[in-house]
Amino acid sequence: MSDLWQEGATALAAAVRSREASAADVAEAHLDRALRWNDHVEAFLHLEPEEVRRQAREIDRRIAAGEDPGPLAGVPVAIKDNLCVRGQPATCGSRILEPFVPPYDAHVIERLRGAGAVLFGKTNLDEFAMGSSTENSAFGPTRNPFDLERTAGGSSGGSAAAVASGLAPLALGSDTGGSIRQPAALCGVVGMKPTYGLVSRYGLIAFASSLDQIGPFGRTVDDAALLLETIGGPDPRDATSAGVPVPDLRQPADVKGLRIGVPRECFGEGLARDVRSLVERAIQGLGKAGARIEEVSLPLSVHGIAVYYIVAPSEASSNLARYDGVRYGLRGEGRDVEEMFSLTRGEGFGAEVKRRILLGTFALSSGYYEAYYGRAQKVRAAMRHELEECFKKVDLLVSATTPTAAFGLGEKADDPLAMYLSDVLTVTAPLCGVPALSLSCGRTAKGLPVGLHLTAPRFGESVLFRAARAAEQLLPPFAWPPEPPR
Amino acid sequence: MAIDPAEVLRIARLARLKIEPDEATRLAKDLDRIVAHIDSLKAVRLPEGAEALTYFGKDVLRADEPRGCLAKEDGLRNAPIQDGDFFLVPKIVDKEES
Repeated sequence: MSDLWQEGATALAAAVRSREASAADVAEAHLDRALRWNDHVEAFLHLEPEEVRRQAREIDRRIAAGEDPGPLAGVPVAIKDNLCVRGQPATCGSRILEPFVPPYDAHVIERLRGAGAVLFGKTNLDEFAMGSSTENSAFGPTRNPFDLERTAGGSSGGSAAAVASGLAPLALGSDTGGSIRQPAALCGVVGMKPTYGLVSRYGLIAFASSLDQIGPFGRTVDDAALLLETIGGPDPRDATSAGVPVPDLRQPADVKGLRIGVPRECFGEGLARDVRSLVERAIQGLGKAGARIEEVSLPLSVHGIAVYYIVAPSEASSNLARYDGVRYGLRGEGRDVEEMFSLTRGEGFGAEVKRRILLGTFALSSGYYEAYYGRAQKVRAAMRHELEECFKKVDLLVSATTPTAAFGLGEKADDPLAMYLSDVLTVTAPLCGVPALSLSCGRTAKGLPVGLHLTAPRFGESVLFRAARAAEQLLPPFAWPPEPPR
Repeated sequence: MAIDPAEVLRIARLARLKIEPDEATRLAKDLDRIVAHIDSLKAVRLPEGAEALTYFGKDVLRADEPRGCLAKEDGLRNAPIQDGDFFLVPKIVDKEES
């Protein structure tokens, strides 16, 4: 095999298991590329080449001893930096956690190790996964490999950019309002948010606990499936783990007879013309391949952003109360404990995290709770009911993943509301706990990727991957970004 | 609901978050716009007695069996200040108050 960095995870694992390639060579090919590209895209916050080589040598040793390391044998997997890997930093893109080194592995990391994967560095994100562009990272933004002056999306922008530029064939991200699917769309790769409860969050640093899910990035639907099969399933350490095994993700690519709904509300004003035309062409393709395309309506979905920006900051304000300078992370100097708390948090958190803590504290505070958090959770329940009713008529929903292709760095940085509105098409799935997947459906005239978004009912991952695989065969294949300037 | 800098400082105090006065002015402007947007939910018509979403699934409880947990030294390792047994913090009770 030549140019190992260009291979997908499925092919690499097969090559390593059959000794056609060594895990050491696979690691070296990706390290070489990552060390060259990272200065341009800034996908990784931490990458320790010696640690990567050590893991790869161990895989090769086990293969030489006649063992089978597992379905991800020797495959490099990049890890979003809000997941705990024992002994490696987990900054969450925040100054407040800069000194933190987790003393344990997240559940998904244990699964990766058990499957023979090589943990390949920690990727950049918006601070505490709050953002849509990685510009809220305390350590600088990730750049879009297709145009270095534009955003890679967020919050899992580092993971999306790493996979799109061939620095790793697979990556893990987390999705709270669209943080896997939006960067996947803007970087032209596959990104998927599982059903709430399918993947254990033990060891994921919490943002908004009724929304957060860990999910896969890959360059193909099959590669994303391989990663989800590895990380999904029950875990007694996460009280929200549904105790359900990963559904069959290997059904043949076929949409014949599938009823696919096109929500009218997703095609309103604000959807860029070039995005609309690529998405409509993809939907027509699914229709020609035998799917029954039907227009549907989800009138409550237009309130998704308002609901999301009450629920997520409220839960964040509670979850982030733990950063007080006592047990881990940064500590400010204070004369008494309360001043120490306030200074630690004032110095350690960035502007967007402060904004959301304040918004959430406000929405939960005495006199406002019912009007904001209580009201939002009622509208959310009604949205969920509306979506469930819709799924009695159709098997899947289809739309664009984002209203526009990648926007310029700095373009929305000073306008938090404009940044929030870029999540308009992705927030419904986490608010309703259902799975959704983004795959590339082509490029704009400027060469920027556009994402096609598929949504399925709860635990409907089988039909989601089946349709995504069928769509992938109808759409232009993944094409590499241009080489960065030397 | 309008949010002014004084309200920002009140909320910041609840959140134990040190905010400088000029920061409060900027945040008040941002939060005011955001709250104006989320206030749109007040106009959503919901059926009488509509329930709030609490949880998606059913509770899945693990067996009530003792398991290992983090070793003390691992738990203390990330502490900014500790003495080998405890996390250390500035004085909590003021002498004059006690």
